Amino acid sequence: MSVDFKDKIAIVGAGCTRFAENFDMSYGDMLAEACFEAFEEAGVGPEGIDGAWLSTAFVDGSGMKGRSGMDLAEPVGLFDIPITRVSNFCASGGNAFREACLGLLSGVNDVVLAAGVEKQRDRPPQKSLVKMMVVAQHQFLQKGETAAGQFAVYATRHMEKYGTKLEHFCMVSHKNHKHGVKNPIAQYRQEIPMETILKSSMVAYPINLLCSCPTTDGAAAVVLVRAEDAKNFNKDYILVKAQELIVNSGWDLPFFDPRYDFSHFPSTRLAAQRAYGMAGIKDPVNEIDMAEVHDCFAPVELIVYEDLGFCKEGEGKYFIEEGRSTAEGDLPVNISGGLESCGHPVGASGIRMIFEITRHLQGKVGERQVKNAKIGLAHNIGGPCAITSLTILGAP
Amino acid sequence: MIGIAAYGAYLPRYRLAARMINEAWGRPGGRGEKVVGYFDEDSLTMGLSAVYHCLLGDSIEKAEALYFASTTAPFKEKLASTEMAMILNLSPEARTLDIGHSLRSGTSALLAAIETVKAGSLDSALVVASDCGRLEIPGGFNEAAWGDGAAALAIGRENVLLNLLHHYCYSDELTHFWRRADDRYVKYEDIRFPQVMGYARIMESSIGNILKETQYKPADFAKVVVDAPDIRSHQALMRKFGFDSETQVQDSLLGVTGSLGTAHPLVMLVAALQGVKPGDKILLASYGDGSDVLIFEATDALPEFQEQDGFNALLDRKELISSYTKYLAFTKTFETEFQDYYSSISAFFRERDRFSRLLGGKCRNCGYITTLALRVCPNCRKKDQFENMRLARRGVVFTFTQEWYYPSPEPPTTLAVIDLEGGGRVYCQMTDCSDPGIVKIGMPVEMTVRKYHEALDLPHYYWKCKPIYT
Repeated sequence: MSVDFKDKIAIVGAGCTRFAENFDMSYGDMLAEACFEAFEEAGVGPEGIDGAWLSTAFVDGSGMKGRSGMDLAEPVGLFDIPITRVSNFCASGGNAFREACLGLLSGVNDVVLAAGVEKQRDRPPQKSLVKMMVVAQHQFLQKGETAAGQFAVYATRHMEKYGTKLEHFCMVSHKNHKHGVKNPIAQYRQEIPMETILKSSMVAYPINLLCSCPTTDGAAAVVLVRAEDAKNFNKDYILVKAQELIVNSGWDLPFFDPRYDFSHFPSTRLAAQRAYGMAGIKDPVNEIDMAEVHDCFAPVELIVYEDLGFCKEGEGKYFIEEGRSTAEGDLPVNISGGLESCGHPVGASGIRMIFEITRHLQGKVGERQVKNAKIGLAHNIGGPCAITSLTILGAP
Repeated sequence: MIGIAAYGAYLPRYRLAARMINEAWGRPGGRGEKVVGYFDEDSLTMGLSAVYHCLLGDSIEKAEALYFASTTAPFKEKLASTEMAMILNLSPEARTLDIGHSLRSGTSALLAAIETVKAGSLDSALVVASDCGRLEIPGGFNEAAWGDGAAALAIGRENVLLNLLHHYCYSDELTHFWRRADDRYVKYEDIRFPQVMGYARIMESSIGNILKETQYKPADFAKVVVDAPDIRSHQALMRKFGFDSETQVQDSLLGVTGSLGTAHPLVMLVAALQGVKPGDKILLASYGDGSDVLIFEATDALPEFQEQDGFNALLDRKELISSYTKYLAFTKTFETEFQDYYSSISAFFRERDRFSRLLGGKCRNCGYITTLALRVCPNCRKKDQFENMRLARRGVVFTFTQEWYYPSPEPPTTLAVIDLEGGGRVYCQMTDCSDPGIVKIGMPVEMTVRKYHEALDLPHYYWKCKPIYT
């Protein structure tokens, strides 16, 4: 038996801190800010929440903060309820959101919180994610690789197989930075000329510096209830149309598995197929009004156009060339500026995307509003592309 | 018949021109070059490379002993030979022994192996001589003189190529070169004294004595392979005995490779074997705290033997190091790498079939080949069906990236997904590739063991791929 999420869960409150080098805020400070913004919109306080899920991908430098549900309880004042920490690499936020929905669907919970936070900049960038990849993993496997490299091997293969060029990846970054200018919570709010992006230094060939997301702090949170209760909390609620989480391989396996082609993301393809089925979407590019997709590195967004069925396999380059994913295009992608402009506090990003789509579907974004947005999609991919989280939201 | 049944040499790809050293120190001129191990090579990895040039897969595993001779072994306590035997998948019953402390130790190991087989204790043995990082202090007189190299010889009773006829060992304390236990650089005091009272006197005695004993005349040898500390001393000694430099004397290689330490006489032997005919006699002599002299006779099998990589190809396939600074980085004169990598000696131990020995696992149920330490087959999802299989050490690049943020003396670090011939896929660093522009999807590569890092203050050896240069 499969449980259908469609139209059964409502987002009644959403909050998000600025995504930046938040030197003035701790892990807990950011959680308090994001959660209380969501509480306020939902008209509840921490005492009104009866179950919570905390998304943090990686524990902080001390090795303690972000390990367990306690790290949400203490800063936000959530006590005497079940709280679970969720960690699933870049899909952590989407995963926490999914668990919160399941808490409501099961009938165990009535008012739940899904919060995501990552405190990366209490350490220099070289000592956070880079160090985790380079220094801390298995003594041999993938040794020499950074996070950029994990995705770069896909980009290299895509270039070889479909004739995609470095320029196409840079176009993705150019578009997202242009979108980010108008997003008040984004870390980078500056348009970057194509020439500058093209000439930026290599990080992991063929991914260059300006096609990479920065190391960022941030938190985001949503309050959820069952759809039938939504009006009691917030008349501007947003409905969940579908949620999928796919884990299709492991940390090392994709690189050592002869079945992998590296020209697409099988976990994303499968998640899209299932989520579209659940939401009743047959023609994604025409039925989806906006998408926030994982652009930790620009090639990922281009490949994901194909995996999400926005265009045919190998034609991601045309999708970006023709401007179809820009604010003015027929399917704006990463209108927030994406991870490239907003930054990527790993555990927070998935919920930040859901926050972004919620605000557009509510029609509350102002000048950068996607017009007539009714259906929005949030996508994360992580853990060398083995994990995809996909959430589809709709206006009631 | 007991003697050498297979041989192979290994020279790292990189060369440092004497001219570049002089340029760095503001001195004019400079002739010749020396072989320099890449930053991820040491005497152990170079010794393994020599073994792979000497023997093919199946026959390596049959060796009943591995003797490793080096003055630059990676450990003061812990056998390099045992780690090499593990990587080469020798039987745990194979004898392992590290021999060192002298440039003579290569020939001493060779003689010890032959005599052990002769005594009937063993049927076969591998002798590996390798030195990497015998360094002169930067700016010193001998900086261009000492290089890195390795040789491997298989000893046995069957298919013998070189039959040992006679040997003579001469031990003589004379302080020429030395390093104390903790010295990084090789020391010496006088130049002329050890040339005259050391090399010339000792070698005249050892070679003279074996000629006297065996009644051979200098003209009886097709090849004369004699190690030397410098080119002039070598030439003077050859003249003294009247060996003909055109026809008999094997070039000292000192101007081409530098002195390769304990490997040098054996590398010279490998070089000398090109063109040797059945019945030819070869005189091999080492120098260091005395001298070993060995006389071999080539058998009918010698011309048939095919090296895995011909010696001339090893000499020719070279690349000059682009700067003296890079040479200092390669030789770890300053640190360019992280020192605090994670590791676990227990994980190292339990995963050594896959990661040290490069054995794949083939699923008995569905035939899927894994190169990871898995229990459940990702293809058919049956548990504990993987059977060890030897993987090919050649393959092609399926996809790759080049990392500029991984600390390395020579960024970027290329990482490549490799499809091995005959199945199995690995993902690893590419080495010996100073030009990132040559890396392409579909490019053929060869697998080689290199040092990844020294987590836990322990050298960590694992496989890298390298371009197949022609």
